[in-house]
Amino acid sequence: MKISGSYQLELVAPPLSRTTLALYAGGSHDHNPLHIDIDYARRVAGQEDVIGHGMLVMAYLARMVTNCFAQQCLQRFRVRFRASYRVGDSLLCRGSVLAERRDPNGRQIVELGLTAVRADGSLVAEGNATICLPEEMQWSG
Amino acid sequence: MFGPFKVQVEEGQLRLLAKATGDTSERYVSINTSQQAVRRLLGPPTLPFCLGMANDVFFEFLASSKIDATRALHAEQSFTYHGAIHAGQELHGTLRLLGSVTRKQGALRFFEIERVFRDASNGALVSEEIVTLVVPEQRSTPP
Repeated sequence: MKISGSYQLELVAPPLSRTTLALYAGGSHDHNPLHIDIDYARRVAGQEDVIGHGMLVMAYLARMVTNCFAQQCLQRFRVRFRASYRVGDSLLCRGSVLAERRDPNGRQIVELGLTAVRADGSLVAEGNATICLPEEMQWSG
Repeated sequence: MFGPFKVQVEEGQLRLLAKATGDTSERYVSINTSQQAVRRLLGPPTLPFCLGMANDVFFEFLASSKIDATRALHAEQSFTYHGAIHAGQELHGTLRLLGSVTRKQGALRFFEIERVFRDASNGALVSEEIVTLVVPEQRSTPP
């Protein structure tokens, strides 16, 4: 597999639905009512509506990465949540190669920059992933 | 340090998580028969966070650390991976408050929390996380 500076990863997450939030609350063990109960979100948290789990955004970014690289290649994964993920928001997740280096054992390490933006281009989350390429994907130059 | 607390990785939980995130790839929804040694479902990269939320352990930790969970938002998350997590595995987790800082002229307080998971059977390090939460500071009301 050839990776270059222009190499792009991409994944589109569908508009966020309340069904997805309910399923994710159950699937992730995160039962915080801020994500699933509009009454709680309004009365207790002072929000207009429920807020999507930041970790759901991170799960989409993770899937984009594991669509291209085996999961065991992923060494580090970091995301900053920049804005609330709201019901109806669709996300365009993107990844690109920021840097490439060799580790002390000579293995190739690729640093990916990651972003998740709404349809209007506003940023929801950004971060990076460190990938250690497996033998068969090593390249020279 | 808070814990260690025990977490069981359940196959049904992994399937529900995959359904929620719309992940239909073979890796996370079917048993990998090509790997004879591991015929169990693989957990996705964000799984350590989810396991840390099980049984409301994280909320107990927040309460014990005097962090107001009702006003806290997730600001940042990082994972460092040392081993895969599969269905059927049992893990031991620990939590530790690393510290807190205020930003935006004291309007926001950021808490850095470290969580570590180890395999319960052999103690091997599985994952390290930093969970950063942000809580708006309460305005002190004049007497």
